[in-house]
Amino acid sequence: MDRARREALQGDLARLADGDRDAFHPVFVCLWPLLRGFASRYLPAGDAEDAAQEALVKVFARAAVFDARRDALHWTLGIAAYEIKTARRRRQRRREDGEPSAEIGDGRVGPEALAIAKEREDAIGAALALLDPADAATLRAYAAGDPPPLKGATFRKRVQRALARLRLAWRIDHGRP
Amino acid sequence: MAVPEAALSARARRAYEMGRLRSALPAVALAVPMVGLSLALCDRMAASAGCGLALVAVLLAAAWHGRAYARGARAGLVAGIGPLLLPMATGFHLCAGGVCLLAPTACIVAALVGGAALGLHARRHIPASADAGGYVVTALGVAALAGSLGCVIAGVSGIVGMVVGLAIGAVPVLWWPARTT
Repeated sequence: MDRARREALQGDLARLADGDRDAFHPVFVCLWPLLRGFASRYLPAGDAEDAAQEALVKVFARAAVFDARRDALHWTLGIAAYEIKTARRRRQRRREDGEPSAEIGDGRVGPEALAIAKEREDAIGAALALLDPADAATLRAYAAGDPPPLKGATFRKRVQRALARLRLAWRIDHGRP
Repeated sequence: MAVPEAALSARARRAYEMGRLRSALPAVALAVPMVGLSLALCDRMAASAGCGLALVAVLLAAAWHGRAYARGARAGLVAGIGPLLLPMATGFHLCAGGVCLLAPTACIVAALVGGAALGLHARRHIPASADAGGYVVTALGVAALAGSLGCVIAGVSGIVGMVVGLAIGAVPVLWWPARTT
């Protein structure tokens, strides 16, 4: 989220806390895609949508007590993070209770899990494409478990550096390591 | 499960309004000891209960609506403390058991001071805008209702005197800058 949108959210949420109903729509329009995107980074599609909706409703339920001196984005994401945590715990419980998850009954991986795995692979591929070809080749060899073309210590050092660059590229692109 | 954005927006709006109502409850809680004091000391149960209910309703509505109305209600509560407590103090200490002429005077004096303080506060902190009218009306209304909980000890004349005192205290202070600018 860029600085201008962040400042607009801060102002609109402060107005909403004060009771200005005209600020409702701008806050809704700003937060809904943000929370949906935030939740989808930590949860599979269906759960992410539910968690984002719950988070959005809770943000509005608490908007009247929002303290305008606090950072609106942090406050909002804090509420969303709690909802995501709750959704993950619920998901974990479902799995422990033996309810159907992403895996299909015969042990094959379900379409949802496949889509998530593909999305993750695409994201890693895109981050690798941003790296120097030598770094990308080192990481691919390391991930595949191929025998190192260099001495062990040198290869480990090279992997370590390439991973640091990959993390940096990932953080720039996705906002977190 | 995905829901249409309009339905989600309506749900969020309901949650917001309910949240505002919940956030209004602490303001209402402030009125409870005032009403309790009036019921205990003024010996006019029906009038005290009526004024108390009206005060609670106005506070709830103002705090739920927010903006200038909520700020006005808070200021009105503070301004109403004088007219609430002073007549009770005079009636309690000086006129117990007899006819009390000090209580109506106390109502008027406390209301004059409260009204002037309210006017000064509004002049300094509330910019002239469409909201300023809402602020002043709500503040005076809440101050009058809070004050009437104490002035009920002096009867109708006490309440009328207090309302007039509030207006006489506040209006000139509010009107003054309009004349000079």
